[in-house]
Amino acid sequence: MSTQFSPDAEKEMHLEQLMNQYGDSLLRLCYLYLKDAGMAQDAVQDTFVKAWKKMDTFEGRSSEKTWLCHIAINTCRDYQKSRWLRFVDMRRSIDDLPLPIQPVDPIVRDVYETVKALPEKYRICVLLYYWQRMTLEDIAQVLSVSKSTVHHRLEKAKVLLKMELEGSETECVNT
Amino acid sequence: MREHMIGSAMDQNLSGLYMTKEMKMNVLYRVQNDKAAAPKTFRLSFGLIAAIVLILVTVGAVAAVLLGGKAFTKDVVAPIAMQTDSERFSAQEVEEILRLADENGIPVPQYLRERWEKWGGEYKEELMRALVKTELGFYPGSWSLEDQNWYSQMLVECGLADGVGNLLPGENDFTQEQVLHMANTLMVEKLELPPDYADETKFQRFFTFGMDTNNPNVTFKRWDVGYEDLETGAQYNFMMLDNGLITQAWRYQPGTEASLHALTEDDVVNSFRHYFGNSVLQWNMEVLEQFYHSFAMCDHTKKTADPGIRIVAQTCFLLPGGHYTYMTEEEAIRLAREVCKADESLQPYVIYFGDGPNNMHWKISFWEGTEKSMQFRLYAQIDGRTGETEYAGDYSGAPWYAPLVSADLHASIAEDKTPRIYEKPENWRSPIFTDDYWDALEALDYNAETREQRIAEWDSQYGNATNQWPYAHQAVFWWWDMNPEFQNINCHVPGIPVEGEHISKEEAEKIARNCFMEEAPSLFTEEELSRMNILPPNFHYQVDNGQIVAHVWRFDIQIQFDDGQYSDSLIHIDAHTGEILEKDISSAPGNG
Repeated sequence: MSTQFSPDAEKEMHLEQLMNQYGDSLLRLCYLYLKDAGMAQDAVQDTFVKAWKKMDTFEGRSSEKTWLCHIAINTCRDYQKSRWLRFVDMRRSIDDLPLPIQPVDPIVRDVYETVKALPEKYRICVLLYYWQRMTLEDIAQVLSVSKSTVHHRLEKAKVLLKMELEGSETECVNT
Repeated sequence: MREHMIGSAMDQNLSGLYMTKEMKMNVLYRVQNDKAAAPKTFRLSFGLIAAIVLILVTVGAVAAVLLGGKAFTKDVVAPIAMQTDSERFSAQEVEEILRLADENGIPVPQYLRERWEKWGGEYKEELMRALVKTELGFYPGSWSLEDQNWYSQMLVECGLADGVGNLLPGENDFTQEQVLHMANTLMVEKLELPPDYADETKFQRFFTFGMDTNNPNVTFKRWDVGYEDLETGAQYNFMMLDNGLITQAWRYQPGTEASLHALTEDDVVNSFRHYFGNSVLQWNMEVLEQFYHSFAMCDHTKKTADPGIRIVAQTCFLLPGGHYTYMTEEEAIRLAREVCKADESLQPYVIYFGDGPNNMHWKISFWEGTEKSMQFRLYAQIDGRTGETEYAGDYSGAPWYAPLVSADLHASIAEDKTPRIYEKPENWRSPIFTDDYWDALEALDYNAETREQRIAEWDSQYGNATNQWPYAHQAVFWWWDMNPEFQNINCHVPGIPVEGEHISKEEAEKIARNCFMEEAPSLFTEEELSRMNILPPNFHYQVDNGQIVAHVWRFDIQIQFDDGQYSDSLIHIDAHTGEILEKDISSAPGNG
């Protein structure tokens, strides 16, 4: 039988490359945004489908990683709004829980939980800056806010993290 | 410990979460489908018309023997699936199915074909669904109810599902026509669903009826009706239980923060009370779960008058028995009884709540008395995954809804055991609700007897948006709405500006405007800036750990874009010093 779907091989190879390079960290970013593994898995897949659709219009003004983060965060925002009613297959199995592969040090666990518990706007800035190693400019672009707003949010996040982690043996960030 | 710890904390804790091969293949598969589904414009040439005629003649001649995706799945693939107990087809079975599919002209997407060949097998359900989709459409929610029910039954027959999830309405159920009529009417009237919603070139309709068979405790059957605007992506959603209770009706516009809701808080609360009884404590866990979702998805502009039920609605109730249940209810009760040392004469009252696979909790409360008058005595909260005790305590002085909220919220409420009051009690001490509040209450003739009348008067005098009310009224409204016993929950409470002590609203506005304009030219065009709108500011006390740490003028500056959407920028100014405490200047539509 002849194929009805003619693949644009180059574009799809590039998409596969992006998924291999950034898939895990985007999935985790989506999880930390949505706090739901199943939804994060859907969101990251949607992110790459959207990226594929927009690939031709990507002008390279930011790095691919910044561009993908931007799409992922907008996708998560959309998910948050529509999370209660999606017309998905009820038969789809829910994948395993995101348990760590290795046992995690309790202090590291504390830091993780504390970051996870930050209010959304601070949490995302912290994750993009300290975890994804993005610059303030890139984060500003991803979140559609000014650079100084990002800076302010990071400062505020540091204070919140310090307050939360005070009393434990760790100081999380330089202040 | 330095910054790098954040990165490694994330990586270590989430090392089990990675993008699987299946997920990547699914993306590629969807990309293929999207490409196939992309609308194309054709110009018919004579040659093309001739070719189409030829194809039609040929297809007509062999139509008697060729099967479509649905019939092929039913008559060819399902019998193969039934031959083994495995959830997967073997490589040989997949090869055979592909061969037969080719013979029948089933358009198997190329990527799916490659994936099946590459993996040497496939989950039966996924393969069957993919084949059915080639005829009925990509989204099962857009199939007819009969097709959804047929597919669901076939999965049960093949041993791939425990129960039929997609149902056909029975004699006692609403008919499809009735439900569609109700849904369409409500959405056109309240959600501005365009009247041409039936035009399939403009809207995709989703319509399902069924129940979740993954959880044996689910009893509600549910109708879902939705429309998606194919051009704008706007979604219109309607959800109704089979007893006629409309649980959700809302519109969502991608890229905006604001949704449009057809139900108010009162609509939701009153409907649930009407259908399931006035006492929330008598609702079972399934009703509570539905209530949580319904309340979350309603219009919160006008708050329901009962602050207790608003607190209850913060609990993300779950129905145990589903995927995220690691411990039975009986086991949780046994553990709680042990921890609380609750004797067998005390009855357990159980809720299950959480917001993700790593955050599930049982809260077991023990009570005596009768079901109509439950006297709650003790409680324990158990980690739903590990069985560890998180909290245990007694209910002395707790409000009626305490068994329905998490123990930490309960504890923060119970710390201040002040009963609900409408005038300043003797020996009153609160760093937040100071004498100013009590004076304002008195000055506005607000007390237990007059409160409802006053709020109604202010509502009609100043409008529904309480942030447009005079500051003293706002502060009193907050008091009425939330009650001082909740004061530790929020980090901002409306305050009352005092002339001479605080900088004036006008002065604060100048500061806010200057602060905004320092950055705005790089984010907005001049034309957009000409549409700048500084909303009347709020006056807040910023509360930290139960103490007021700042008096704040809070400005919301809106910029309207050409498409009618707004961006919101927030600026907080210290009302004593004029210092900028926080600024969040954004050009994102819907930010705020």
